[in-house]
Amino acid sequence: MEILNAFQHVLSPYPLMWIIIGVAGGIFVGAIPGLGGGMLMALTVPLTFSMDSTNAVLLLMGMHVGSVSGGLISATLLKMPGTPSAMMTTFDGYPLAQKGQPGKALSLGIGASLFGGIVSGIFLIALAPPLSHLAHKFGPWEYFTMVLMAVVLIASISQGSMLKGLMAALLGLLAAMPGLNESDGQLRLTYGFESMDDGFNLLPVLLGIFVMSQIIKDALEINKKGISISMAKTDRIFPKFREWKQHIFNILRSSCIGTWVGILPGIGASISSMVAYGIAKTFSKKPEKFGTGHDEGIVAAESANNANAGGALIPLITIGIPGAPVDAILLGAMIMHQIQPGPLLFQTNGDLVWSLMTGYIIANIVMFLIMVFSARGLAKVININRAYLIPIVFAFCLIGAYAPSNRMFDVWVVIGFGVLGFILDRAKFPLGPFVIGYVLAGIMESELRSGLQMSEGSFAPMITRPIAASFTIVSVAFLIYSVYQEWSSRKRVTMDDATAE
Amino acid sequence: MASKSRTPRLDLAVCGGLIALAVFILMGVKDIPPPFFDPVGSAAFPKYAAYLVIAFAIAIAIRAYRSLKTEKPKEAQGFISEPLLALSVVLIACLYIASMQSGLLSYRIATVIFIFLLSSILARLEKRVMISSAIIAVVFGFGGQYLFTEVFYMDLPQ
Repeated sequence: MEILNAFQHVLSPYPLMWIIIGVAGGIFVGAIPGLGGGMLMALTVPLTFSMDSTNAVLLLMGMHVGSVSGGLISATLLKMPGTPSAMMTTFDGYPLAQKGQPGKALSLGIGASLFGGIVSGIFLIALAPPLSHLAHKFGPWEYFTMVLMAVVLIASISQGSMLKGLMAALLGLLAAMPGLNESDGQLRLTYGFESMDDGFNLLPVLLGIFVMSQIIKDALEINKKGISISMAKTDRIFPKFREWKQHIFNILRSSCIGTWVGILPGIGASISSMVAYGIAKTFSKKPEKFGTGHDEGIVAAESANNANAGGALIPLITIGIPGAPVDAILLGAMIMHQIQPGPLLFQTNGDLVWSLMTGYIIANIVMFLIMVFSARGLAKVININRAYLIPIVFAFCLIGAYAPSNRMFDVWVVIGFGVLGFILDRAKFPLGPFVIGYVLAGIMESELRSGLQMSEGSFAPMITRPIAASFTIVSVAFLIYSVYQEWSSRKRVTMDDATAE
Repeated sequence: MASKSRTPRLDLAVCGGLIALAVFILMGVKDIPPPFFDPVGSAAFPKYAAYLVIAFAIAIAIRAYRSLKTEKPKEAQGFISEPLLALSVVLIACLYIASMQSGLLSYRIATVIFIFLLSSILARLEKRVMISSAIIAVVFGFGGQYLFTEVFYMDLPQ
């Protein structure tokens, strides 16, 4: 019954309007390389303060769905993924477009994105309520070990070095430390500056890491342009039923992979599409065709990255842990609207949760319609001169940091974290673990302190309580696996060097 | 136990900065009072996080140093292709904020100058872009002031 009421609410004019605006905005920024969903969402959060909280969440969620899908356009026509999650789409989308079939490449991607979104939406609706019920049984140790697992998972799975991933997560944890400690009301690490009493607020940190660092990066790469493939008027974008039928197994498998990877706390859509692409290639009858403009590659990558968005909403709603770095913005927006995601959310804000879940499905349908009818037009604007865009986004970013509390300190925080994010990115430190570490630091510390109070200073419950023990085992297993991976990769490199010599 | 660093020089510099940051945090931790109702207190979390940062930074630095010794120096020019451009973006942003914070310029005027200046630099003073960006700057500066104050009720620097 709740689900029907939620659909009815979401399909009423006002919420639907915000979903459409969100999805359209998301597709637009997703299609332009250098801009992204995280950037748009972080910039929009301050504008939602005066909005109804459900509409605000629907708007931001629509932006997320739109941006993940919009990346497909530039990945296919420009060989430049509009969003990192569309990276795998470039491998087959661009070659297929080069072969004179840009319409087919887009139609396959759009259709796969819709199915990926719908499948993960069904999982979201089916899994969130029972998981939320299960999360009621969690105590401080379960929460602490789960957050620990999330941090270890994202640091281990992030591309590049595991050490750098862990370091980024630690830096995120440290960034959340200054200011008033909620556990005991003590000020710490303020170094005598009054402005530091509030610490580094969520929004300026996210704006710095997601927007400012990207702006500096974009400024450096402003002359980097892809070779654009234009679309003929006769190119068909609406997917054919025959194609959907032909790829249905690949779509379902990749959507399930995307959803599952999304559920794992802290892991983003790029990993989903990589895993789904790899598995599709392994099981394909024509693996040698992958990377040359093969339908299956586009379908796998696009269904997985869209499914990831829905999967990532599951841990966010049920336990208050963002499923992907971009979901940290959604979490932040919810907290700013006085909504605390977690096991109690179904009781305290049941209407909002059901609207969010049904809205996610509607957003995917809206995305499909907008993409089908606007992809041709968007193809013309993806090469827009970024010299116009960067300063405007920059000005928006700074005003977005200033607006919530009218403090210039927050604007300097954006600059500081932007520069930090840029340097870390250049040195190949993944920024995802930083964001997750920053967002989860508070809950991690408070749960650990509560747990230690209960156990009188003993860490034994980490392995004596069944749920906490399972999270601890997963964390340790991932650490060992990552160390083994790095060790074997070093061995391989050393052997290659020896062979070359 | 680690693969080769792809950015050894930068890694060494970043690790140096991170160790300095961790030491700075450890100095700040000394001022936090000891725990009075729970076993760990407010200092424990940042203290152990800072120790871990130092440990990881040393590990990354050792790996970077090894890579630096065995690899040909090809990264030197690869770090930033146009460092001046990155620096000017940050510098212009700092001036933009400082001009409003000091009360020297209002949001409107500062934004017009900021957008025009940044667009022009990014477009390498291309005349066509400069003309368009001047129009965009005026529209965004004055329009933005109206939008933020009248529609979103934000209190902008005057």
